[in-house]
Amino acid sequence: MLNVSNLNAGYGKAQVLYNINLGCKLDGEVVTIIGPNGSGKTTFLNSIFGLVDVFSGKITFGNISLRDIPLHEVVKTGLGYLRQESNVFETLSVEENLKMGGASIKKKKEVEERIDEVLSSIPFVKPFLLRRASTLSGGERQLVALSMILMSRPKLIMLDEPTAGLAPVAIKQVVKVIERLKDENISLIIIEQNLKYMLDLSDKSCLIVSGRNVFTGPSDKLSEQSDLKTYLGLG
Amino acid sequence: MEVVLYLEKLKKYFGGLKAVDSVTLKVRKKEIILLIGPNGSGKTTLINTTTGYYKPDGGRVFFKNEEITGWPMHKIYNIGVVRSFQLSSPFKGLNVLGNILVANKENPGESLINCLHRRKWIKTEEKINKKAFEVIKALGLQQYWDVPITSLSAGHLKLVEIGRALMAGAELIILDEPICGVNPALADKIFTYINKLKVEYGLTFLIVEHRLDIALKYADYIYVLNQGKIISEGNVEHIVNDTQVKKIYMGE
Repeated sequence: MLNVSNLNAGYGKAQVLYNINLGCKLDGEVVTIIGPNGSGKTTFLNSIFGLVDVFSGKITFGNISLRDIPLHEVVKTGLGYLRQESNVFETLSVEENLKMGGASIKKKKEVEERIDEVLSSIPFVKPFLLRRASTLSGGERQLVALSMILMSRPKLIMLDEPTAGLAPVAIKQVVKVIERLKDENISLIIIEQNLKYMLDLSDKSCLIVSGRNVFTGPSDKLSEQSDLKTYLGLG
Repeated sequence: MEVVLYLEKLKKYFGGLKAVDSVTLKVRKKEIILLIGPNGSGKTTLINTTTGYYKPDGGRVFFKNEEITGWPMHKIYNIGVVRSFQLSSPFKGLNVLGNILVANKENPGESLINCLHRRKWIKTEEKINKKAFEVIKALGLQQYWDVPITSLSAGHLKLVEIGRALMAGAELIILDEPICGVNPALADKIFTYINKLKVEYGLTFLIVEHRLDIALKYADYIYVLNQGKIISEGNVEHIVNDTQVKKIYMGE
């Protein structure tokens, strides 16, 4: 289980997050994080992954305290992170990108097997395996980035707005992949502004406003939150 | 209504890839034109080729009946065609007001001789500042005017970009995904401001956007691009009922 308790974090002296608590089971649970722009959602994922200053609080993944290990060790714990930008190697082919995703695998044969495994989870990537990543469209790029993360067989993947900038047809592909990962018992924490597609998939939702989580619970209870109405522009 | 922008059989190729393949498109004054299409269909390339970022491989571009094909970006900007990019890139060391002020074209105090004579530029500076505050007010950014630009959310940065276009005296504003990654409430607000600028200031917009749940409410006319070609055009009702658009773009 990923467990975040009483997390306070920020950048230098600027505190962004205040006493955030969140748990995510490692059995295919999907948690969606929503909130206004600038509320600290990305900072929250960055702090779990060790990319920002954590002032206090606990972040445990299984039995490991993520605050006590360096970044390259965090990746080896089975935690993946798809960030909003710069998530593929532009000058490499898609196949080479996948190999980079499996850089920690020592045997060449094992890398090939893992690529086959990933392509069976995300078959959309197969047709452009030999294309250079810089020629991919936004939707294709997201799927390649997700495939790279899958190369390390993560137990939990954090996704920062995976559908941002995607056409509806590409969003549907990403959602299909997310459903499939859930079926394969890979847990997901997803930041998303596009509630239409994500809330149905989620087991749990977390609403962050001004660095504080004002609601964490079943997604169907989210609609009762007055802060949600403000977020949606209905309040 | 007067045609502000006219693209005639515009082409842009990258090697064998026909990114923009003979696109003809009209943007009428005081309208919000939406350009939609799957990722990689050529929307951003079309904007880049129209605004001088790329040189076209064929076809012509007209702005208010004047041919501007192949003009450099700064020249196109100077005649009133201002565009935004997918990622905002403000001057990080300036506040909101500063970022809006720099877009103003007339700065007499910057001349080597004039800078020594305060009376030659002080009145203009006052006028420019007044105009900047009007722009800030028109976009609902009053409470942020003196905050560092780096502390603004992605959504508010998009508004500042529109503010810079207004300050530069834009007549046609081309926006590349203005509400991408913006929360629903603010995204709707951004389109409300765009609509207000159209109605009250007579501005024209060509907008690339995927979030149709919000954008369609404000669009006057829509073009759909796929593999570099326009596959459909019309009003909202026509586009949402077009079976080809439903299949290729909506994935239905």
